[in-house]
Amino acid sequence: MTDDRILPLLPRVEVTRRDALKLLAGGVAALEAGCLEKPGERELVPYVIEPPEHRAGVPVRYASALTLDGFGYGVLVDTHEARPTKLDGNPAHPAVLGGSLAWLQARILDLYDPQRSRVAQLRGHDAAWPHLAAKLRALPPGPLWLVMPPQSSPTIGALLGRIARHHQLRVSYHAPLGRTNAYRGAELVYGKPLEVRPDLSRADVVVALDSDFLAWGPAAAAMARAFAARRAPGDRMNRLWVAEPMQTPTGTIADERLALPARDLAALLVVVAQACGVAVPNPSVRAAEARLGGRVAWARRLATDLKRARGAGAIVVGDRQPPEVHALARMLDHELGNPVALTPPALLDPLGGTPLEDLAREANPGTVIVLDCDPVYTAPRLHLGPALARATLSLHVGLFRNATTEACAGHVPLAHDLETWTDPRAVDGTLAIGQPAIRERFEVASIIDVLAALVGDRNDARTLVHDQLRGDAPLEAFDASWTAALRAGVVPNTAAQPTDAQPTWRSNDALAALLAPTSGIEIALAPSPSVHDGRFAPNAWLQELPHPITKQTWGNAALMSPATAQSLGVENEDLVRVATRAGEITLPAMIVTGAAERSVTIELGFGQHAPAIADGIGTDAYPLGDFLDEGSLARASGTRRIPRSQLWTSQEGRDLAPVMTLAHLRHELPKMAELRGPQPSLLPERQWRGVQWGMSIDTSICTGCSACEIACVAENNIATVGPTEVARGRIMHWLRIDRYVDDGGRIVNEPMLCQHCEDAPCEYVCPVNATDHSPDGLNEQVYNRCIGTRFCQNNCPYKVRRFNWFAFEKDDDRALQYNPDVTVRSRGVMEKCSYCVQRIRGAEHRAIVEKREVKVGEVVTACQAACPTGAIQFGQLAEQGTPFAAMRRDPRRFEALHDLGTRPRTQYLAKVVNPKEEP
Amino acid sequence: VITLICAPMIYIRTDYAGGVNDPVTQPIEFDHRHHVRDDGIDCVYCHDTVETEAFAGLPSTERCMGCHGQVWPDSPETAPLRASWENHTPIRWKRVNALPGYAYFHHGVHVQAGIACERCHGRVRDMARVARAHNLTMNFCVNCHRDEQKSRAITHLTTCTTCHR
Repeated sequence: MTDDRILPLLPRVEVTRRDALKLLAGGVAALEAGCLEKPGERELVPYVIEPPEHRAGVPVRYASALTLDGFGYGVLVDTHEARPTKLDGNPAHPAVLGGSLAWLQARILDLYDPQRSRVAQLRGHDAAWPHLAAKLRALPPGPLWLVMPPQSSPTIGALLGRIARHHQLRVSYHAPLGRTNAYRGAELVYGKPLEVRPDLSRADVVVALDSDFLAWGPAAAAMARAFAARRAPGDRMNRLWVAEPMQTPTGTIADERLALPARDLAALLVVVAQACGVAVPNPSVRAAEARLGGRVAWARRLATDLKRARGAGAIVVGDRQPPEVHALARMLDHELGNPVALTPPALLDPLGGTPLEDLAREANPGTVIVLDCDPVYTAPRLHLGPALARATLSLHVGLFRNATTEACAGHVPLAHDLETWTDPRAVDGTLAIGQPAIRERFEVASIIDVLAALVGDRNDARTLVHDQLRGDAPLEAFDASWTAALRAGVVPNTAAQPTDAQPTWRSNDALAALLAPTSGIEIALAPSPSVHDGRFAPNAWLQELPHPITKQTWGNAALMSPATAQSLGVENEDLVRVATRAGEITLPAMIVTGAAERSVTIELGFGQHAPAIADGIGTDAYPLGDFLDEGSLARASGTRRIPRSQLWTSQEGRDLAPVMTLAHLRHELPKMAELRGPQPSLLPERQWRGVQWGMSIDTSICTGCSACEIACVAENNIATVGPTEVARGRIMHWLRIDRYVDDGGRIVNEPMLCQHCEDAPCEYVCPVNATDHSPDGLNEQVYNRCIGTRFCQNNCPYKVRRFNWFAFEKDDDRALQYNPDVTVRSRGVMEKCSYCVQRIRGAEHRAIVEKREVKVGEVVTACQAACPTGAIQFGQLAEQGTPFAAMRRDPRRFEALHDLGTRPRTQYLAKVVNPKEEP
Repeated sequence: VITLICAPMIYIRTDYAGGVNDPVTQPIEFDHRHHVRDDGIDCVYCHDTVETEAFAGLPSTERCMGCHGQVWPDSPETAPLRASWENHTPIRWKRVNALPGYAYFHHGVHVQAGIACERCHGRVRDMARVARAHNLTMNFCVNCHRDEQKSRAITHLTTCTTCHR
């Protein structure tokens, strides 16, 4: 694995003493010349016609939408001179409520990815999209097969209806990690597929079964917000029960957690359901109890708690669990009267349309168009290659060239969501208008463009989306509501109305099959929290994002419990061979405390061959077949290095991140006073006058989802360094999420960034004063003054300072994403979190121009804006009546490494958990 | 060795090296003297964000054409302007004053603080072709910031992140 793709090759130069002196003089001159350029060297290029909303240098915010697996996510796009540079969740959109997810933040990079496909091709020759569109318009009626991710867009739905009138249309909605099982489960009990949305704001007891609902899924950000709102220690604090085979972000903030193989969850749910009064046949209960063994007690405790909280519970089941488990959970919901909204699914065909297997078997598929997915990679068992070869015309439409491109006759570059018009629905049905924030960068086509060509419609995507929303409304009357919808990013009153459906239980046989005794080791495949099903593998930010649990970057591993690893005789990074009925793969092992026994989790989306960034990163787990299967595990010879950003998870007996229980809060809280406040110091006392800034982070509601980490990368032009450099400890992230595991398996996520110490150890070791303190309490890093001694990094007890070992900055397309308000650093300088000083100074400048003080809440850091649970708050130390002000007075507050006397401006709130009291 | 290091450091700070008073040839022979003195057009008419934003703002071709569509509509001097308008290609002006990428300057706050344009730009109204009036080194900025900090009791004027972010 080389890093040539990341690092520029350094020239080799042989130098004599005389040359060295020349170079020295020349170097000094060049260095200095970089500071001062001659007049007329650069250009100033004004608009020919300036857009009315444009003010030079001031970002313009547009509301738009992203789509993932069919569901819409409302975003606000910051554009600098028509260049989108940053995404944030749209507060008005019900799926995000202003919060972010890591992938949502990272989508901005895809827009400028130099690996993006730029030209359409047909049979090995460059072709133009308009030419191909003409070909599609001229397509004679006949068999037509569309393979694409699930869709919720009404415009796409209408176009598909029109296509079906011309062609024998079959559509396969292909999402390797789709929600089909949940819909089938609903179908089992309600007779039709329904979206089941628990109301977390009314839930005292929340149960997550093999579900990472706080960090994953179409409403994860909104659910995390609702969940966190009930998390303040006190009478209304909810209790989270999690049973899962692998540690997940949701599991890290569980109050009661059981490590259980995913295939045993059916047994768990049967025992709970029966104890709560659901009529489950007795043989099933006995089989379930036999499956669970000693873990029955946990299930009984959970059942007691659910019964106590009758009418105020929520049960979330993971997407890969079989439909029967979903169905049983719905019966349990009904029995307990849990607050759930049942709505018609937002997707056009929630059950997935024609199965992809049919395409593989089809002798005469006709025209096959694969849109925005890579089924050759994600469904290797189907061997789609021959089917695509049999097609009269096979076309792949994608953002990048991938395995499916190679199997198709033609390829069309796909428009990025920010380059085209879309109208996806959120999971609750709310319609969002995704408007372009930039003109199409290449000759690209959107899904709507391709479908429109198939019906011979020459309208552009804007007209189609506009007319679809307008319906029969008169144009003049519609105009105002269209503008309002564009401005808000959502169309009001489009959420689906809850339906009233009575469940009936009728799947005893299938359930009995799930409870049959098993042998062998469970091989559980899971989505990657960073690269999803593989579609984000080209995204370097996501590849380098440390895994929330294992802290692995750039790749995947066979994740197993310490006992499983011991029985195999493997340690971290030893290669293991994993085999199922479908296939086998070899990859490095990784030991995870909190993983279930006899269960191995492997994340999907890695081991692709194209594009270049993804090539050879990690191991492809799709050949293993089903998501939950039995298989075998054996040690293979050799090891493979796993680049990780955190190697040690023990607090070593220190109070780095304290945890306390709600029941014992009264005894624990006084101890926190010893972890904050001034320490004796030899340093001169400083007077802090005027506005003072600070940050507070609540570790109770930090799930470790890492949205903040990517938001920081996007905002502050942070470099990606590649696997080799990460393994050397040179990852550049200003904000990392430290994870501590105590002996009981209790986990604390502690976002760690520059603490902006009032007595900062970095400042007094810098020989050139490149790091200094501002009067408003910021620890400043001055890149142009830094000479790279790294003394500050060495003296920083929090290890948050990052050094540019190489010139990681880019000057290709990717540079278009750079935030112009933040300096792009180059080789040889130190950098670190600045509390988003560009936003602070920006707010001050606005205040000066408007002749007022900086308003409370006016400065929001990038991480704070991204956090879906509101765990990160930033503000002025003197402010009143805000969440930040409340956190500054919270008795749980403490300062990290308080005993060192650094007096950090960043404070943490200790984690409080709410386990069920033993009777 | 000391000479080798110091000589370029001194040279680079001279007005000569900084091109001070060196008029820059622009794609259009735009004469500030004529527009400001003869026509009495206020600076802010063209540099319209100078009082509020970081960038002073540069007029779009459309704004120039607002007058020059009728004033001198067929002069050879304004031909590049008309070409820009008709072909929809922007005018590529040469930048006279430039700061390095790690220094951030906000025109709006300086104007609000009563700093006259001349303080940094010189008497542009007297320039046929605009030239740099001062070498915009950190020394030039900080001298002023130090004085202002003393006289106005503003705490932040000389802290690093005022300009470097």
